[in-house]
Amino acid sequence: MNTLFVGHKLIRLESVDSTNKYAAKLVSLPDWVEGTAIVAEEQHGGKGRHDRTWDSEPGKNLTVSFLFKPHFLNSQQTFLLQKFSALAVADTLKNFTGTQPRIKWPNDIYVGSKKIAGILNGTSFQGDSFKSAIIGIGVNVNQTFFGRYNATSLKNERAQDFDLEELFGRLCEMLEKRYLQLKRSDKVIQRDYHDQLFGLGEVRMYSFRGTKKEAVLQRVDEEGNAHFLTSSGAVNCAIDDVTWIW
Amino acid sequence: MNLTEIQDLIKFVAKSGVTEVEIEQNDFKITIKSQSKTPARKKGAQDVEAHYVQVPVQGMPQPVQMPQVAAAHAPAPAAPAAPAAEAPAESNNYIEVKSPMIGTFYRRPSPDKDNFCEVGDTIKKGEVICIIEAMKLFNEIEAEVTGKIVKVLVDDNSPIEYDQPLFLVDPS
Repeated sequence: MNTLFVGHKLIRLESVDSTNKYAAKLVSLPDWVEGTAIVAEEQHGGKGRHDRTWDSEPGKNLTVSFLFKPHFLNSQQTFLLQKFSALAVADTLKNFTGTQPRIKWPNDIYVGSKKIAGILNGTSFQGDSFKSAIIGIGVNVNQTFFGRYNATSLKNERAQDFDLEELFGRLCEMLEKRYLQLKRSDKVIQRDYHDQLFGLGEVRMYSFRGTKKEAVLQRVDEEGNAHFLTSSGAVNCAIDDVTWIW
Repeated sequence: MNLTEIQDLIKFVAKSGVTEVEIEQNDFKITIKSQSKTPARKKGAQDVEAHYVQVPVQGMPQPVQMPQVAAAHAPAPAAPAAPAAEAPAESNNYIEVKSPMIGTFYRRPSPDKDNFCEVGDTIKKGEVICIIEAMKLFNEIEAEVTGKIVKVLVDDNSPIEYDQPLFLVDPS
């Protein structure tokens, strides 16, 4: 891979409960290296938000966590971590797999109306300063069956197998590119995230705290709130205020 | 009891003409004495007000300053009337751990796990004491000081604002 630091230190695990948990242990010790990647062949306790689980077949998908030290951000800018990482995953898929990904707010990656990649990030803070950020990424690559999940994979989309090593390398490059871009300024990150939002400017159905309504996603602000326009006016949503209806 | 409630209580006591109010909850005790009666206790009463008000006004970014502020004032009540001033003097040294961001406050690493810390626990600098979720991002908040948890000021799983006090810690 062609990077300055992302993925240079690589920890490969045959099987782990969760690469994010492993990463959290690493950053609790002194002397961890920024850009370290933890890749797991099999993740048996992979979790989403609130411990939601998913099923990943061993060796078929890309499950990796990266360590960063975003000292240049303050505690009010944490949503930029969601933005830069979502963009990096979308870039990777768009540039190297021939799919057309979109970012479903806040940071899921969709192709068509199905989820192809998920991101779960965590940080640690002392006071107002970042100590570490863990970027956890799961991309459905060569798995083809997802049961009841509204999910797809690169193989399902492109009818071919993908090389996990190759894809990992490209992901490292895109992550580094977006991270360095963010370090300079958040301007491009804000713009590109906005442009790649799933459902942006489209009339579709949402459920706002249980009430189904047609709405148009207009923007996501710097704190990460999504702004919708409905027939009854503007709605400003935090994460649990709205769900997509398919 | 949060700081606004304490401030309101102090105002209430001052206005009401009551000479002394003592409130004790599970793990928290506050005594407020008005100035009118015993001159010996006057200083202690003023200190309660002065210190409780001072800490939140300090602002977020320099937690290191808080113990210094407290330390600077601590000797004063100790000198004139030691027994009467004892309770407020203790509280003066408490440090507030404040939220660095808007989000949801979690006391546990995940729903099936124990709380990171309980009242009475000694926490070490760098130890995780809570998680704040902000827009699907999980932020572990580490203690900036070593000390004992005196009070947890926010309920598990509730929304919090930037700079909102989360814990009271006794650093001594």
